[in-house]
Amino acid sequence: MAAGNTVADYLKRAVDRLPLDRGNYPYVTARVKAKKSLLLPVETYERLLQMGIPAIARFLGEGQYHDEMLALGARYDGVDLVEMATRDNLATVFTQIIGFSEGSLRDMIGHYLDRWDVWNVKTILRGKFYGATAEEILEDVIPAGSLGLAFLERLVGLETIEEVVEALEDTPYFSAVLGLTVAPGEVTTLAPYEDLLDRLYYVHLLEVIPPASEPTTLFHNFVRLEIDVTNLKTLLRVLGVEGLQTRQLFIPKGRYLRRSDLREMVKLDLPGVLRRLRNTPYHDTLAPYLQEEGGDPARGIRAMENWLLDQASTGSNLHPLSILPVLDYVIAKTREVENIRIVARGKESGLSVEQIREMLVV
Amino acid sequence: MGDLGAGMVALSVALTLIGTAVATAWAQKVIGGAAIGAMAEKPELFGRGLVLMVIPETIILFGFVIGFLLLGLIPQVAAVP
Amino acid sequence: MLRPKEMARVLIAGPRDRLSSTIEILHEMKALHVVGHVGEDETFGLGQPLPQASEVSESLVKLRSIASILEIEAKPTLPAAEVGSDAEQRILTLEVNIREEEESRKRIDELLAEQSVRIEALRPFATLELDLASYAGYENLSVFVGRISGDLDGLDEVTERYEAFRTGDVIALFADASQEDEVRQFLLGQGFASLEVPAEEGDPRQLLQTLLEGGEKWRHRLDAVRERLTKLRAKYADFVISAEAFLTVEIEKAEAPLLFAASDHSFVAEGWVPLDRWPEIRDRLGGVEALYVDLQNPPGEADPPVLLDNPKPTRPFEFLTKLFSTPRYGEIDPTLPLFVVFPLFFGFIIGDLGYGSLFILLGLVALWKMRPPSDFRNLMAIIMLGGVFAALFGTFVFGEAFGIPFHAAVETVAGGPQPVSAEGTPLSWASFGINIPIGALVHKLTDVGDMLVLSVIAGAVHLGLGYLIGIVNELPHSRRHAAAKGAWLAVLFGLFVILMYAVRSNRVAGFVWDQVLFFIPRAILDLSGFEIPVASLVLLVVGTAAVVYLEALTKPINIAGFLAPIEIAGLLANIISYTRLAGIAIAKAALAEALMSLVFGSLIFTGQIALVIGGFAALVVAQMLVFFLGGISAGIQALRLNYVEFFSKFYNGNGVPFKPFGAPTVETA
Repeated sequence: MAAGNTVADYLKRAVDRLPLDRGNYPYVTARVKAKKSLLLPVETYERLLQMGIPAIARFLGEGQYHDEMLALGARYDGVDLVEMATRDNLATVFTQIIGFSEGSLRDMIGHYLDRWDVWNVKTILRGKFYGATAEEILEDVIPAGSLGLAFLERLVGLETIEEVVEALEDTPYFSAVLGLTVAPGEVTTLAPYEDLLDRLYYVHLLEVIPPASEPTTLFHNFVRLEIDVTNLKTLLRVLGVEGLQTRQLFIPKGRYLRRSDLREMVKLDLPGVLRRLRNTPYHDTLAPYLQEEGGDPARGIRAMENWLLDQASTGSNLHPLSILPVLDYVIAKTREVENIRIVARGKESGLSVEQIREMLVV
Repeated sequence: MGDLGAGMVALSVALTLIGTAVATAWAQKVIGGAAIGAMAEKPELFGRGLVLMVIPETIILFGFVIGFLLLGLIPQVAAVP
Repeated sequence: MLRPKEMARVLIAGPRDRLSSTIEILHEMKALHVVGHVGEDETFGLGQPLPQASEVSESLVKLRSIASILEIEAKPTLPAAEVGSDAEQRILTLEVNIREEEESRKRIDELLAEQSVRIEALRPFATLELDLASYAGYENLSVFVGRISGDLDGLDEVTERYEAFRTGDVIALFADASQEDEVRQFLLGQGFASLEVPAEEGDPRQLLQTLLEGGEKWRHRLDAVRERLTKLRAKYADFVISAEAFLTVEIEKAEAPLLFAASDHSFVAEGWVPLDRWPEIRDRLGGVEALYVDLQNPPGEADPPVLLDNPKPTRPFEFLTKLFSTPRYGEIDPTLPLFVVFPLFFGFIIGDLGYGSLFILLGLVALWKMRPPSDFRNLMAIIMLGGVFAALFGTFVFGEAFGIPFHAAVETVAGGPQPVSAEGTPLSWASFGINIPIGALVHKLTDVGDMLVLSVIAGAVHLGLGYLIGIVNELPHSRRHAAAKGAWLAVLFGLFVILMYAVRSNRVAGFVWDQVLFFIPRAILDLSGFEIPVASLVLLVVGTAAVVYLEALTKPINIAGFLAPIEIAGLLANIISYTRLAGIAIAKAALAEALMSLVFGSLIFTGQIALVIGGFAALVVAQMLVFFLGGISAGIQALRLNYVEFFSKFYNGNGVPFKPFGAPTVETA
């Protein structure tokens, strides 16, 4: 979206800068802060680790996952129940937040939550690609973005990838997946398309919310920080993997890390990467895991996730009447659901308490 | 004090009340929104929310007191017991 | 009474095989507030749930979901009866039954929704009586099907080669394909909206008929499913409720070890017991072999749980205390002051025999109909007591019932009570020939000054009480803070004296200045026209200086303490804040007076049947309005004065409520 220079554009930009009431910030931030205080405290995970899966389901049903457990409890059990209840809850909670926010605040939150659209499109494509059943795919669909459940169900019901791509024509994601239909037989992996979807999401997000005023600037900066963290996680994952260097792995417009730098870092070893990060805020967080050859990139990834959680929470305290408390809550809530799922899945596959604890991000 | 002076004082009183009333209303709008938002998730915050909500009332109370004192400057008003 | 129950810290330790018997005893006694074990150390980790936890949890999740599907409301009256060993089996059966019914219900719902879409699509075509096949498959014909609001009179001028079928506003038009655009243009001008031809085959009337009949059949089936669900509910409701209660208790016991510390062979539980129940606990647990039970010194930062301890009549007011925050242990419980002050303020604002009696009546109904524990019941009990004071104030001070004074005020002010009768007297109970031999001490609408002064006096006394409690609260922790509260009390008294002297021309303030404050030296200082008693100035200066000395000149120096002089304005605002008592009382009385004068003067006393009937209807509405508006604003404002002005002088709150292990958790909606 190129900035125009007509009188109307100037006027619009001027209006964007006016300190008008552009959203019900007090209500929304107070409410999400209250919601955040209802998230599971750290000590609770320790107790969850000692419980069996049914007990976890019961415990969740006595708290914030009450409605979902009541609705699903009679039909499902075990890990399925926990996964579906957390999934439904995530969708309900995020849709609810969009519902009670207003004005440009609502737009920002809505665009931010469109990440679930990307997630769903990826899930469906992957399901179709590997021949999963509609039911299996639907279990992982989280209708918390702009694409409604009805539309997603229709997508899941389609037979082939080509049909899915065709049905996506009116969405912003069409251009990313268009390539899938050109020569269907030659597609051997979905990974490049998934990268493209992620990139498209962030580029679109930064474009529709230009940093025009203080609220949008805060939003912008945080999203760019998130891009850095995502890129770093990608970097740590692909480091040392052959043949990936040619792919466009990274998302542009990160806050501190340029794409060209990241592309060079792919070729380095862990200490080398750490040296390149010396002047970024990420150095100290990653140092313990990257210092020596071999290191522990997996724990580095979790450390970055933790760091982002901390950043969100700090930002939310520094700017209590901005969008940051909302983003903070969205990230923390998503994290909670992921943690619960890690515990449930870990229990299911018979991992020890120590192993599961190691995987949690709290 | 002439009529003009009395009129000016009366106007000041009105301005004081308008200003403090608008300020109170604006502050209560913000705090009230936040209080209701928090209470929607945690009803047990009612008591705290109520307390925070009414704090800006002090603004208009001061306005009222100042207005009252200003009114005393008008001889016609001061004459009324 | 003014303090929560005294708590003692208990430590229980024993070998692992005594775990479940210990849990049984503790659960039965409902006296130990367990402090959860946190942090891992070398030997003691978190305990593991008893083995049955998983199984019981699974049943419980199912059961709760089933209860929700069957819409079974838990009746807390039913005892948590022991559920037999076949419970699991019964839950499974129930689950299978319900799952089937739920699924068929969902399927039928979907089917019916789908059918209704088809029916809606077919309906217009059924009226046209053309076979569905006849709408497509032409080379030289264009087919237009849709609804039209205009008519086809002008179509002949556009084209001659067409054939139209029309029933009501539904139309099917077959026209020469070469003139398609012209025909469409014409049709659009006549308000044409096209309909999609259903992708079905055959005679639409027959199709519709079949669908409607089929729909009827499905609806019957849906009813049958619903009926079966209702039957299931009737049959299993009691089982579901008692099983849920029983299993909830079971799971609480089974998961208790999650709060304990445990090593390979032993466990340790810590918690708080009300001191008066300690001997009981010691004796019961002492009976278990190899179990160590004793009191211990609480760790330094310990924050004992709080169990409020108030005499029965004041207990509903614990609701108001908790609505703000549970008091901290070691802090004075403000329930008793609330019990005295809240109804007094409420009564003063309402100040009406009629409305007061109504509040009493409402409260009595609630006490009679509702079972404790219920927040709403507490609230009604509180309102009832407020009603008592409202009736007392209304009878002996304000002389007023249902917004109508016993006797009209002698002096009528402009804009005050308007005459409603031919004799030119304002409305009063005397207008109805009811003569109550009590005169009003204070007329709300004419004695505004009295009302304001009374409010300020109430405020000063209330705030003073707040500072006194503050002194008692601070004394054990810091003499310095306690002394500062005392200094503030002096400042408050000084302000009060100044206010009373300034408005001493008012009879109430005059009385206070002359008779109550007789001990204050009469020396007056004239500050360029503004007179204040010398004694009050001394109080202000000494008090403020003391506050600054005590709060600011600490080690290290506390900068915030220097702001104390500014806080005097805050205290003044606190006092003035109490004038809302008068303000709302007057506003309510004025509203009632105006409405009643209007209803009686312009409607009921006219004697014209229609107006009289309308008048009585208006009377009911107006009375309800005054009653509820008055009740709500009086309640909120009386509460606010307690929460904001009063509590801020001494109250911390944020205590941990005492929740003994085994006590039923009150479901929060």
